[in-house]
Amino acid sequence: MIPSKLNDKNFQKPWHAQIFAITVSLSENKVFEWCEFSDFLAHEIKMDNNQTRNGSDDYFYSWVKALEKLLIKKKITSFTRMVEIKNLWSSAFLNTPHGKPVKIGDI
Amino acid sequence: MIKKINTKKNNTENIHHSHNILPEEPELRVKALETLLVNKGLVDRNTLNELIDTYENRIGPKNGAKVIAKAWVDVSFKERLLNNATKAIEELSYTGRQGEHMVVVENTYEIHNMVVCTLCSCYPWPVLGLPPSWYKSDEYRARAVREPRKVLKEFGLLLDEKIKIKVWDSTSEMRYLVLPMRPKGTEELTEEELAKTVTRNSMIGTGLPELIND
Repeated sequence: MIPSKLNDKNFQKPWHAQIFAITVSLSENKVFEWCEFSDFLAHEIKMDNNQTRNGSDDYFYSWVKALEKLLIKKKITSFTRMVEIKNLWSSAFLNTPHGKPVKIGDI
Repeated sequence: MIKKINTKKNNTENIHHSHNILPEEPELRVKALETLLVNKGLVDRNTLNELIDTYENRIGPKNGAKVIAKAWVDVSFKERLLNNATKAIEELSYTGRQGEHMVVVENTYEIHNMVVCTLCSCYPWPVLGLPPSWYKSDEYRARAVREPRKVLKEFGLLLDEKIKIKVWDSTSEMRYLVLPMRPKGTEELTEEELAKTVTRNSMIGTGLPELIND
């Protein structure tokens, strides 16, 4: 059964909106063409096909992975660099006192 | 979903309480990407916020509904729409991202059109906004082509067996919009009132226009 009556908000979580906006912005700044991204996204969705795809969380997760791979292909960044910054955020979340904004230092 | 991290409880008084909650993996990866790209000057945080606001609040199926209503009342516009949808839609200024290469397919008493993107989620943003979750779901993408009649039934749309269903596969090079049939009994309605009967699903083909009873 297709869950057509479920929550139809465009973005169900802030990070869905964030990755969407980042991708559109990069495409508008000509970092890549939209069709290049579409190809990467289609490929990623195909790769993840074994999982149940609800068109929300898992769809946007494929979107994140597609964008990461495209940026690596375009030599904008590397996998190691992305992991490095991700770890900085993890550690900031775990170590920032409650009530204070979570921040990372200069990268 | 927020993951709770198990931490050892420390009895000392002056130990601070950390957030102790770690956002889920994709959220952290998005944060990392954003940090990296802002730092490189490739994206700007204000632009990102504006984009989100635009797609959350300003662009949506109301634009497409106006296109459809105009086609119902203006024969020459309808002709232009069916011949060159991108150009005709431009007349109403609904242009921009993902609004290129538009094709409008018309429902008739013999044919019902339905749109899917089997590869990912290609969709005409300027006239429909962003696609709903079900449009991006595996199930819809796979079954719309395989068993469209059954899928339409799940959407509450029971079509006469005599009506042929045509499924159109959108790509980044070709985006489809369904022109539903004007509902019966709407002869007295204005273009603006007609637009209110056009639902998003009727322009994807998984629904029909709906008359609103005041």
